[in-house]
Amino acid sequence: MRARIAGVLAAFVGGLGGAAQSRVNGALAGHLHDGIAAALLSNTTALVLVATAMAVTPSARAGLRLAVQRLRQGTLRGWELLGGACGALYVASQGISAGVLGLAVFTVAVVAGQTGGGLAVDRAGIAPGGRRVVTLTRALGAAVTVAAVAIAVSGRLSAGTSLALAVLPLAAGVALAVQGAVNGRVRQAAGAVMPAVFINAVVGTAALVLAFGVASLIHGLPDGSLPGRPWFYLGGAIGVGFTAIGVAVVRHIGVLLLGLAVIAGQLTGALALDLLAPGPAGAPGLTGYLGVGLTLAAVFVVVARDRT
Amino acid sequence: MRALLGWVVLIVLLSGAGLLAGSPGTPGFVLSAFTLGVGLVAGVVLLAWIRFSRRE
Repeated sequence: MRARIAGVLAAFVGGLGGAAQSRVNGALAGHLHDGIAAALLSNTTALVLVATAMAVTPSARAGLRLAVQRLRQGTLRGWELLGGACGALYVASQGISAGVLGLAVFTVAVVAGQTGGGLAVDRAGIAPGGRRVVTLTRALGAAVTVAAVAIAVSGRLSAGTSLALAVLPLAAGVALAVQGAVNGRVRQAAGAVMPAVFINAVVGTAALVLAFGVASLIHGLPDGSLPGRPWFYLGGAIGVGFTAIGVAVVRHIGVLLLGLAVIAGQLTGALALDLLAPGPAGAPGLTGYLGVGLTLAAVFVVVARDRT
Repeated sequence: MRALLGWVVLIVLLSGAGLLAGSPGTPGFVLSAFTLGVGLVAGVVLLAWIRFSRRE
C-alpha cells in the first residue's frame, strides 16, 4: 500500500513537472509562432539528452538490446513501441483543434478521453500489472476528475465552438492512456526505464517531424525566431523526467490512477504557476481552486478505497 | 531507478543554473524556481518509493 501511495505521489510530482513543461513549451511556441515546431524542438532536445544518457550507461544499452531481442522473439509486439506517436497525436490535435474548440473544451475532451481510456486500458490488461476491473470507485473517480477539470477551465469557455471537432482531442486523450500502458510494457521487456523513454522519444520525434512537414506544406514554415534565453529549452529535460516517472510507476498503480494523479499534478502546478507568474489569462479564480480540490479528492478516494 | 534519480539531479542542476542566471520576478526565474522545487520533491518521493517497494 505504501509503495502504491508513493507511486501515486511520484505521478503527481510528474504532473507538476508537466505543468512547468506546458508553460515553457507554450512560451517557446509564442516565439516560434508554431506549437508543433515548439513541441518538435522540445522532443528533439529530449531525444539528444536521452541518447547521451544511453550512450554513457551500459545497463541502459543492454536493456535496449534486450527489448530488440524480445521484439524479434515476438514477446514484444511492434505496435507496443508506438507510445511516442500517441504523444505526437496529442500535440498535433492541439495544433488542429484547440484554436477552433477553445482551450477549455479541448482540455476537458482530452481528460475525458484519458480517464475513459485509462479505465478501458486497465480493464483490457494492456499495461503491465494485469487486468484491473472497472469498479464503482474507479468509474466515479474518473467522472469526478472530468467534472473537476470542466469546472477548473469553465471561466475560459468560448462561444460558437465546433463541438464535432472535439472527437480529435478525445481520441488524443485515449491515445495518452494507451501510451502509458505500452511504454510500461517496453520497460518490462527491457528491464529498465531508460530504454523505454528512449524508444518513446525516437518514435515521438519521428511522428512530430512528419506532423511538422505536413503542417509546413499547408501553412508554410513558422515565421518566428528562436529565443536566446536558455530556460526556453528546459521543456525537453522536464519531459524526459515526466515520461520516465510514468514508465516506472504504471505497473504498480495502473493507467487510470497514473492519469488521475498526473492530471491532479498538472492542475495544481498550473494553479501555482498562475499565482506566481500570471499568464495571459490572469490570476486563477474560485473555479480554478475548486477544480484542483475536486481532482485531488478524486485521486484520494481511488487510492484509499480501490484495491484493484 | 538509479537512472530516474540521475535525471532528477539533472533537472535540479539545470533549474538551479536557470535560477542563478535569471533576474528575480521574470517568468524564467519563476519557472526555474518552480522546476527546482518540483525536482527536489521528486527526489524525495522517488527515494521513498524505492524504499517502500523494496520492503513490500
